Amino acid sequence: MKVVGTSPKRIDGIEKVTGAAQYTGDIVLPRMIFGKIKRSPLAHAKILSIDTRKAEQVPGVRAVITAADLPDVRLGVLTRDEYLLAHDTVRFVGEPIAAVAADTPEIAREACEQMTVEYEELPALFDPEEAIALDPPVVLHEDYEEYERLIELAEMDKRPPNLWQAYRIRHGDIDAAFHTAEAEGGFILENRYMTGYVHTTCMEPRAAVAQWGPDGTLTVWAGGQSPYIARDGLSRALGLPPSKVRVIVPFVGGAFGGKLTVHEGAIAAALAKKARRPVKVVLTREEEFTTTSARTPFIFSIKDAVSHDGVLLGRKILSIFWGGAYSGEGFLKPIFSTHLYPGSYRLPALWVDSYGVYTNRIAGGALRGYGCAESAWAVETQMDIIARTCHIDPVALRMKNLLTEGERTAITMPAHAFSAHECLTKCAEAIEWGTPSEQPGHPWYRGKGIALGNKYSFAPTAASVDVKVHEDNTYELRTSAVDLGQGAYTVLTQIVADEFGVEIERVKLVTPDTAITPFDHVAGSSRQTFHTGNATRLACADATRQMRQEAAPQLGVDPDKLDVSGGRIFVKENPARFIEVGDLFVVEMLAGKRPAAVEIFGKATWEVSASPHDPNTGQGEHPMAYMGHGAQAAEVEVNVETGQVRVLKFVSAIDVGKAMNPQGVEMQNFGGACMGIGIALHEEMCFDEKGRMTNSNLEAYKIPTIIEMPRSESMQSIIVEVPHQQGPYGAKGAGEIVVVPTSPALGNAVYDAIGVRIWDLPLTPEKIVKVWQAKQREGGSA
Amino acid sequence: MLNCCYCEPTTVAEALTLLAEHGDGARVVAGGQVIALLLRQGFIKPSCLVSLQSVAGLDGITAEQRGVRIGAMVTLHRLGNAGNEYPTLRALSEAAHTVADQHIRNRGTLGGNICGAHPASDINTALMTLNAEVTLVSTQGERMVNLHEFLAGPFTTTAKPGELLTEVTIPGFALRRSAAVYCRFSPRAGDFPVVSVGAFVSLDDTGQCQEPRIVLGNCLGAPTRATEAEQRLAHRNLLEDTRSLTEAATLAATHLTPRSEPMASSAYKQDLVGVLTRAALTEAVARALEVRP
Repeated sequence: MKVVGTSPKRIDGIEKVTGAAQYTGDIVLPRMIFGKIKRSPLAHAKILSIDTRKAEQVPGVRAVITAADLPDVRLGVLTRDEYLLAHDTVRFVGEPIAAVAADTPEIAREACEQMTVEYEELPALFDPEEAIALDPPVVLHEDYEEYERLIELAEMDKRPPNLWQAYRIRHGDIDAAFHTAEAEGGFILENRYMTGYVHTTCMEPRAAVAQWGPDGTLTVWAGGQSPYIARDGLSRALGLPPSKVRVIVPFVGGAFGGKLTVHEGAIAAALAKKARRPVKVVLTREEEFTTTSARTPFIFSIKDAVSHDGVLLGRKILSIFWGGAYSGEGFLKPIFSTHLYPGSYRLPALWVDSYGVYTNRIAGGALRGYGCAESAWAVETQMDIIARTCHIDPVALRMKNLLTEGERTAITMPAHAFSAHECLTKCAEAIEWGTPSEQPGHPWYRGKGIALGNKYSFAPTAASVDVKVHEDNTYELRTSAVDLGQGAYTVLTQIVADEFGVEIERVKLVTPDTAITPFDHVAGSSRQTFHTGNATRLACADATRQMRQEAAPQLGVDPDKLDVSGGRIFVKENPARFIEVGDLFVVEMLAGKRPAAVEIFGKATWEVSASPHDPNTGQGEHPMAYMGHGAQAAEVEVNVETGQVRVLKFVSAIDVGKAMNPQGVEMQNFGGACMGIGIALHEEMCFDEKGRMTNSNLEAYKIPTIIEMPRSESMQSIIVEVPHQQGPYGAKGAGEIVVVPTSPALGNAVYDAIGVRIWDLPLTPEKIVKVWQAKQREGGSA
Repeated sequence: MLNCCYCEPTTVAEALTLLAEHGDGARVVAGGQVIALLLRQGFIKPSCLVSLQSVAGLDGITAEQRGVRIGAMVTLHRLGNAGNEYPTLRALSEAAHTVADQHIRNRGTLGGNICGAHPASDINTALMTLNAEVTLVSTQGERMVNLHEFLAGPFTTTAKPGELLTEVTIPGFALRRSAAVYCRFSPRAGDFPVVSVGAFVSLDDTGQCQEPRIVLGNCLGAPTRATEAEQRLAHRNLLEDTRSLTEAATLAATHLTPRSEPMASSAYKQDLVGVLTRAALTEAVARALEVRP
């Protein structure tokens, strides 16, 4: 093992920084034209008529499509509740109604404006707590019961009509836990938390280029997270067999969960078919904000039973996921968000009800952490409050309640590679926990906060990898794992280099293209190093097995007495007896020489199954692939007059099992901290009373800049390595855990500084001023 | 779709002729900082864009008896440094320094920032604090208007069709012990301020405050004078009566009902007005006292 565990230059780095890397938006095809989408200005309305005649007459317009041009199928990953283009109802501002392809994007936009749509406005529903009622004021999907659903909801007497997801965890006797707490001098602590309404805000907006071949094969270029999910979505939306759809993934400018589906690719394809020309669709920043996957809020009510000395006796959680008009890319969030609860702490009783509801807003989707960052906001703030309630240090309180290796969690699954102690200890050390912050004087107050987190990686899942051996000692890796910026291509290349014992330059990468590269589930859930990494190792082993087999007759020994490294196949006991890789291949067939190895092609599939989905108890021996752990801590400075929060110091101690590329892990730590700081303190999608987003641009939506970050010497990345028995080289993923504890770490630091809690994210200056003023009125002081 | 002509005249006279020809449909491009956004968002649909890029003579800064005259095409970057050479411009320089980022300050101009009339413009709030006057020329002649009268509301000025803003005059300070300060708050660097406050005080020999000015930015459609707060300071001896600064700040905060915006309610903006006014006044008095009488 030479390259794994080191930090070679990113293999895509030079291309990206020099501008040579081709993104979807850069693609230009002969005769290509441009698509634009006509969208609903209303949050809820019946469509009475669509008149496209004026749009069709705009010079330069090549095609106009509406739902009538598409197969009558509903889309959706687990609940098929959404049309590509609206049929008779629109349910959020920005919902696609029609599309135009024209010679320029400007003409296409003009034609969209020329289209006349008649609506009958319906009352809209925005409040998730109103939406979950048994008799809500508005029902978004009257036909819900007829929709195709691929996952079972928890049993209930009567489904609230706007509910699309219900999941439960039942473990231990929760009522007994509350009784014990009351009877034996402990306490019960109940609070309500809410997370923010934020967006992935990738640098690259969603884009797609579609082209039809003469045989009716559709090719779509789209920078998404999974070419195979995209292929299946296109196949369903357009009524094509999967073999007639080819998806190519160019470079991707960030995804963070926001690029799972490719609706714009399907729209581009439908336009391209009608126009008989290739079509490119690139979303504007406003469209990105208003119509693509947002991390919509969760509302959590947590009630804890705690002993007088800070031992958790039981935890009861009700959570409502503020879904939008469709279940969208957030389809599993109400389930997966619950995985955090049993992951870190010993809970003799755990009772969870988790729901997802429809409202007339943009569909809720994935954003780095898929529910766990949200759950952590509630749980880790609650842990801080418990510590302060029973006067125990917040780190000690957590330590006291942590699981131990091998212990069964509250969902049956045993804790494995359980590194929370180490993460917490190292993090606390680095932030100088226990040493109070120096106080600069009014109006600035300083404080420190810490939080723990865990992140599951989902199962079941699978990854396949092909490795082709070339006669010039080059190893070609074919994968559908997408590099979204997280470094997957580099890490997988490192693995191939090590498995063949060659320098990294001898590995050639074939990037995702469903016509060439084999199945990989998705670049999501921190799963690529773990699953695709395993598949890569197995594919390499398959290739070296073939190499040994082919070499055996030439070397006159059994294949199992041979080894492969550095371009040689050699006898293990006598490495001086070897042949070169090139010797395996005999190319002069026309000269009459017998081909030894015509093709050496390793392939493998790595599969992880899961215990059966039980929505009524949440119990399972193996409901996920693995769980990673991490802790973060912050020191902040709060101005109580303006409400400004400055992050002075930030520490991440993250367990990755094995740092395949330590610099890559460090970048994940820093990048995650920056993103998490933005989500905790700055970012918020705002809407007016009609459900229209009021800050859908980068001036008004506050992605923080480098100036809002701690100085680089005050950002610390600590890599913890507790190997996972199934991980390749022991590795786990690092992509999401790095933003899970961030918000509560900052919230706890703000509390430490000013002595007041804010329950809903983000911790904006205005909220800080408000809670501070309320505290002053009550006569408190910091 | 934008369907308009683009002209690059080389003299003011040529520019004025173009503006006269196109009347209401003409828009001036100086650095492009403001107009590029207005065009992109489709807020304006001009028939002709008249660029001042190649017009000579609009980028001077000269000190005269009446005050400092600054050409409309002086960039924000240069304005940011001008305070070192021209002490009366110090608050304007401080304001210019906070606008957006260095790249934009290299392009953005004084005239463009004024005529863009953004309600949160740092430049306009600072200029009003300094009692600036603007010079407007057209083929019909020339006039000078106080900036206060020039700014009519959000993205709106009282310029008539065909008029071009060529320069700004910052009058000299009547009393030696005078100072202006510009304070702003935005949680994110480079943003328009959530609220900004400009304060001007001048103290006579006894320490009495003469003709104070307090200007509130991004509260209403255009920078607004906090007149009640100003009255509270006028003729007070600020050396002895330091409480009046706090009182003026409180009056400024309740002077108006600021417009709310995403992530900042009206009430929060009022709080910020109070905090920033107090800070600006305190600093202005301190600076005024630094000047020898």
